[in-house]
Amino acid sequence: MGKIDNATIASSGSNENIIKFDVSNNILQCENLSVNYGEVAAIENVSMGIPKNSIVSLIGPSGCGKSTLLRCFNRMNDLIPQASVKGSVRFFQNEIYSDNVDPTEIRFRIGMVFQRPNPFPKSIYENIAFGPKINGLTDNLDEVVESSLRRAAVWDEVKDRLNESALSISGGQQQRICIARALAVNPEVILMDEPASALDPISTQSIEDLIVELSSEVTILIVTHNMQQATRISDYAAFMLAGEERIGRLIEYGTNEQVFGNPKDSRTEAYVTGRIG
Amino acid sequence: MNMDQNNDLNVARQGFEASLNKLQSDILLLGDLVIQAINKSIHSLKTRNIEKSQEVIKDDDKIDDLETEIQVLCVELIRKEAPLASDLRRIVSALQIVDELERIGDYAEGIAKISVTMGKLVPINELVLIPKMAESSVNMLSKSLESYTLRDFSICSSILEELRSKDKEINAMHKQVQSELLNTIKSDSSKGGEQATYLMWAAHNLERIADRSKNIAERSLFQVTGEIS
Repeated sequence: MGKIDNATIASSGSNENIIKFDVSNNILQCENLSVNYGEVAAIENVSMGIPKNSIVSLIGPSGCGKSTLLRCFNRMNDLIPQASVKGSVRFFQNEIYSDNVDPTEIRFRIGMVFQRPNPFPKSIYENIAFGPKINGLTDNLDEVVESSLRRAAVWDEVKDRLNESALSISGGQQQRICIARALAVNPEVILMDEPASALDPISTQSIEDLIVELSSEVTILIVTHNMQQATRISDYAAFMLAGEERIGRLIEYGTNEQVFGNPKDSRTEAYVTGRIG
Repeated sequence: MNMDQNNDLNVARQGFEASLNKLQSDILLLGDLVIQAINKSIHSLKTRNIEKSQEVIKDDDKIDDLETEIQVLCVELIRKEAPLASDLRRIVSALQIVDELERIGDYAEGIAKISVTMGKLVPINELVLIPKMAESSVNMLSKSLESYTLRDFSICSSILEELRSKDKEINAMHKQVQSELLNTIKSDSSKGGEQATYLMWAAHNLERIADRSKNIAERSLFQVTGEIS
């Protein structure tokens, strides 16, 4: 895989197991990122770049800080009481934790899809139109709804049911509605936290196909516990692990071929082969 | 990753680990059967022992059966365990190596069949170079299996280098045998020429055994590096 064939892999810095990209090609970049929940450290000193239009999987055992890291990329941790973030997160070279940045705007440009489908208790149409309306878009709403549902590969299944409740359709369809809802505001990045873990194999397959298709226009970061899924869809994978002190750290970040084929770190090898975690 | 680190982490998937170990010991057993077949086929060719040659032909079924058994185990492990990283490389290389070993077994069987076809004919000359080729080929095969078992980058690389050089030596011996036998064919149109033709095939089989032993060393290195050469 490795879509960024011409990515300049710069010097390996302090950790040779972490791939470094040409920063100008990164849509997101975090440096020395640490998160605390009150007194408790959740992740520490995570530095990584996310190349534009790539699919990056975050893998690691439960409690290693994958979701915490994911939420840092669109300031979702701001909504968690006692969460404090240190370090830097840049989106197109702009620091997203600056005082002058509106987190709501960041969350439109960096959308999020959660583990369980969470459509609003409204019609399918209203679910998709919600974001654009909040952004002040009132013209061409029908067009936006249709194109978002098409991009999320669910249009054909729901086009005759747009006024029905989004809660009345299957779990797999609901999850694609949630992806369509995120797409409706034209995000540049979508963060996905185990988006297929609550779905059956067929729905999982359609979500995976969708992720790969979307990656030509959107950058995708996905947390997954499914190693085979991560192997199938990601261009790059980042392995996190919490030690005895329960602080999550980035252990290895590399190409799909490296992380799932021949990891550099013994802990990554042990995790992807199912010896730990 | 070195193997010590790996051993520390092998706390989970013990059943899978046991299956991978069985896979390795089955391959070594297959290798052993194949080496026996080569040695026996050459010895019986040299001593004109048709009964022994027939045993080699019959025993090839055991090699084929064990090959199938190992392939079934590999497919089962892929299906059940969804292997990744070193586990995946071990199973993929096992599938490739088992195929190489089975083909080597066929070459030994081929030599035994040549021996049976030649019957009790007294050899045209004392066989010297062909047994020498066989000895070197068996040595290469043993080394390649050692490489497969050790799974260490520096050892596997150095064994592969050594076998590439040995393979060239065997190719040179093969050319020499071919040239001598061609001279016999040209100068002796009767039984000697016929025998020489048979022996050329035996030498060809040994040259192929050396090639496939080198392939096994390449697959063994792949097991460590993940790089296909």
